[in-house]
This record gives sequence, structure tokens and C-alpha cells, in this order.
Amino acid sequence: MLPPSLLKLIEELAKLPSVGQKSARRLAFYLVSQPNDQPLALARALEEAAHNLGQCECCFGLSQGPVCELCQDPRRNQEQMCVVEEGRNVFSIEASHVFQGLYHVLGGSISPLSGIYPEDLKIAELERRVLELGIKEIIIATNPDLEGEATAHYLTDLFKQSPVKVSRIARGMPSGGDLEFTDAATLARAFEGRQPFDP
Amino acid sequence: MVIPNLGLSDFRNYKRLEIEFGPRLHFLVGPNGMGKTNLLEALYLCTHLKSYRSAKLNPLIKQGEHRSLIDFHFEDRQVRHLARIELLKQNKRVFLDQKPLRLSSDYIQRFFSILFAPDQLAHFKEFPGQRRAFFDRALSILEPNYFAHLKEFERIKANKTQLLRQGRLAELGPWNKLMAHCIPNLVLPRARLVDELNQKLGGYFSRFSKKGVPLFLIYRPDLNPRDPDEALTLLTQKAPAELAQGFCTLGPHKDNYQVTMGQKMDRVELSQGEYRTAFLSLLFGLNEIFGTRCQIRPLLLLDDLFSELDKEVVKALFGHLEELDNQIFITGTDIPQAFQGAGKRYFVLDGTVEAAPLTI
Ligand SMILES: Nc1ncnc2c1ncn2[C@@H]1O[C@H](COP(=O)(O)OP(=O)(O)OP(=O)(O)O)[C@@H](O)[C@H]1O
Ligand SMILES: [Mg+2]
Ligand SMILES: [Zn+2]
Repeated sequence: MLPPSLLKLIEELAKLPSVGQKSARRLAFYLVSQPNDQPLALARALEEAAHNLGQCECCFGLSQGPVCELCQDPRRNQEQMCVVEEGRNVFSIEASHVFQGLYHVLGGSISPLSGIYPEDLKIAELERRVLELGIKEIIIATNPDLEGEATAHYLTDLFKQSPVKVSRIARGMPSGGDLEFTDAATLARAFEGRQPFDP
Repeated sequence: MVIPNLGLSDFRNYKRLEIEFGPRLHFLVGPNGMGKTNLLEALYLCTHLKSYRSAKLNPLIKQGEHRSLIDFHFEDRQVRHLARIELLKQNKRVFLDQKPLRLSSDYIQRFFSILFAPDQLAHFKEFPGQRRAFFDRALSILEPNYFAHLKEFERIKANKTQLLRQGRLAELGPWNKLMAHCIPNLVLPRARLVDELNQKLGGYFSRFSKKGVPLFLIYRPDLNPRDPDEALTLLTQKAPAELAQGFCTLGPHKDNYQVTMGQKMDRVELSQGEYRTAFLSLLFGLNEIFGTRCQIRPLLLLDDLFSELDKEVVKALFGHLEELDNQIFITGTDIPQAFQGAGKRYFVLDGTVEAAPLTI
């Protein structure tokens, strides 16, 4: 019988994505076999992250503080807005240095099969921000999978009547892929090759 | 693909069976209810990884047992592989060269059995959905991206259906657009295959039936747009009607395939034997296309081939089967005159199989 504290640790670790029971056990045994300060450093980092990180009030991306650094940076192009599915996508695009504008994080993609509809995403907020900030160009960078494409179509239709220019990043990426796993060079190409989407 | 040997444990009425095959023609002969079709079904499983007779696994496992095993070697493009299919009541596992097979779609896109079986023919005759499934399975091998497009279409349709059920008309647009783009990816390969088949069907049919009436397969796409734009227009027009019905009423999932012989159409006007011969012509045409388009030689599994066919047809069939270099398995309660002396024979008796001596 494992000590209760160890058992609890294993169960918590096993909740993490792509960690099964086996790896959870291995990680747990590793952690508790280390000198005390090491697991504690991890615990503190976790606590700090959980405490300090949240959603940016403006772009709904990941932020330390109520408004993220990107939203606060006056040097960024205030007329361009890139729409992504998840907060982590922002960092992938930032790493490619091809985009200097603002971001908007939807919090997912439209997927009726999984019960996710437009009202479950930050789409109304997007409309409001575009209007309030006077955005001139929206670049849709949702994932190149079916749901991402459907979301892109939905947004394009939404802004059809408005003077805002809407484009979709080109499919420089493997179909069915995930922005997160796309390297910077591929992403850069995709941004440069962006095209009018469903004109 | 060629299967030089097959082992069964607790499969259907077989307790244990070890059997060796040659590269070409085989006859499985025996009285009713002895296990001929069961053996053919096991061979079908070797390429399709599922049965054509039962969607459930339980009926495949010998009564009173909890798992069955199908072990076989197969030769593919000069490489010999070892495979095992393990059937449990709730799930199935496949091992290829002793490693678990992750994606069965990778496997079933490489191998194929052309099956002729009375039940399957009846289903093919009766249900458009069965005909679609039949051609879809073949196209998944013949056309590089067909399977992916089909899966994509099904996912789009499922999402769209969800919206239709909930009455969300305003949100259909994106999914109709995706569907409109996907439709030609299914319709064009289907039409291409039917065209190619039609160039071969007549030859086979006249060879088998000596009737001299043309045999044609007709492909009737539910939507046959010139391009995605036209498809979108049609889908958009239909959206309110689809909403009223609550499901996708329009699209390649409603396509139909029909057989015509001279002036006669389909199951209604074709006799049993005529339809049988027509279907066999279709199978042999498909077999030829597998060879020319992708150098695949499917297993030919012909269950109860000779019933309802007259002597002349059987003789002509023999002529054709002799020319093929597929591995072929034919079952029957006896072997017709025309086939005497040909191929390898096996006597099937109550879950045992005895290879006949080479010369009779
Ligand atoms: N899961 C099972 N366990 C045990 N026996 C089974 C199982 N499934 C089917 N059988 C039996 O296997 C026997 C042989 O069936 P099969 O369909 O192979 O006969 P056949 O030789 O093709 O006969 P026919 O000439 O009538 O077509 C049948 O009697 C059937 O009851
Ligand atoms: Mg039978
Ligand atoms: Zn922000």
C-alpha cells in the first residue's frame, strides 16, 4: 500500500494531459526521491502560476495581471488584429515575429458535435473590440482543421458587411495540424502568404 | 495479397485449424452447415479486419469460449508478414509482425477481398447504402485521399446535423461551405470509377451470359455540382427544407448506384441469375481495376458461387477464373463439371478441413 500522500500526488499527476498512470507513478517517485527543496520549488512555481496567471481582460489571452503586456504595448499596430483559438497560439505566432498587431483569443473553435457554438466563444467580444478599437484588418489564424475552418468561415461572414478587411492565414501548415506544433518558419510563410478568405 | 497459411482457434465452429494454401484457385467443399462460409469469413477478416456477416464480435467466437484467434502469414509486394487478429467479446486487437496495429485504417487501405456471397448480394441489391459502402471501401484503396475526404465529409455532416436538430439555421453557412468544397472530392472519384467499370462490364457480362445485351452501372449523384460554388448554392437553397426535416437531406451520402441490362433496370426487372451474373461482372471489373490502378491483387472469396447459375455461365466463369492470378477461394456443396481437376480442394466437415490429394 502506497503512503496516502504519494497516492494523492500520483492521482493529481495522472490528471495531466498525456500522463498515464504509469508515467504519473514514475514522476511521483522521482519527485519524492529528490532533496526537499526541489519538489518544493516546483510546488511554489505551480502555486505562483495558478495565482498570478489569468485571462487578459482585453484579448482573453494568457496574462500575468489584468491586462497582458501585448495589449498594453503602444508600439504594436493598433489597427490589425489576429484571431486565434487558444492563448498558447499567441506565443507561437509571437515567436515567428511576423505579426505586430493585437490579438484576440476565442477560447476554442465552433464545434456543434462537441456542443460548442458561437455564443460559447469570445465572438461577441471580438465584434465589440473591433468596433471600439477601430480595427481595420482582421487576420484569422484558427487551426487548419475542420472546426478551425468553420470558425474562420463564420467570422468572415460576420464581418462581411463591415468595412474591416478580413483575411485567413494561408494553409502553409499541414492539414489537421495544430498551431502549437508548427515551427516558426512555417508560420512565417503562412502569415506572408495570407489571402482573402471567401471574398 | 496471398495467404499461404491460416490458423484458427475457437473461431465460429472451428476449435483449432491449421491450413495451408496455394497461390491460386481453391475449393472448399462439403455438406451444408459444416463451416465453409465460416472459413471464408475468416479469410475476409484477414483483409477487412471485420466480418461481413456480423457487426458484433461475439457471434464470431466459438460458443462457450471467450476469445478467438486468427493467425496468418501474408505476402505483399514480395514481403512476408505475420499477422494475428484476436477477437474478444468486447474488442478486437490486431498484431502485425508481432506489434500491435495502431490504426486499422492504415491496414485496410492496403488490402482488399472481393467477396461474392448470397447475403451480401441480397444487401447490395436491396439497399443503396450498401452499394455506397461497397464502392466507398474500394475507392478508399483506389484513390489516395478518398478515405480522408470521406471521413471529413462525415464529420462535416455530423456537425451540420447537430445544428439542424437544434434549429440553428443562421449557423449553417460555414458547414455548408465546407461541405460544398468536400462534395466534388467524393463525387468525382465515384464517377471516375463507374466510368472505368463501364468500360469493362460489357466484356465480362457478354462472356458470362452470352446474351449480347449491354450491362451498365449508373451512378446517380444526389448533388452533381460543376464546382463548389454551385454546390453551395444548392445547399443554401435547401437549408430551410433540411431544417424542417432535422437532418442532412442533400449530399453524397444520398448517392445511388444502379445496374441496367439493356432496357431492364435493377433488382425489379432482373432475374436472380441475371443479377448474379451482373454482380460477378462488376466484381471482376473491379478486380481488374485494382490491378491496373494500384497493382493490388485482392483475395477473391466466392461463397456458394454456383447456385442459381446455369451450366453455360459456370463454364464461362471457369474460363475467366483460370486466367486470373489472384488467390481465389470458392465454396460449394460440390464442384461443377467444368471445374473438375482444377485448383486445390479441401473437404470441410464439421469444423475440420482435409486437403484432398493432388490427383483424384
Ligand atoms: N460462434 C459459433 N460457435 C459455434 N458454432 C457456430 C458459431 N457460429 C456459427 N456456428 C455454426 O457453424 C456451422 C457452419 O456454418 P457455415 O455457415 O460455415 O456452413 P457452410 O458450410 O457454409 O454451410 P452451407 O453449405 O449451408 O452454406 C453452422 O452450423 C453454425 O451453427
Ligand atoms: Mg455457407
Ligand atoms: Zn491581452
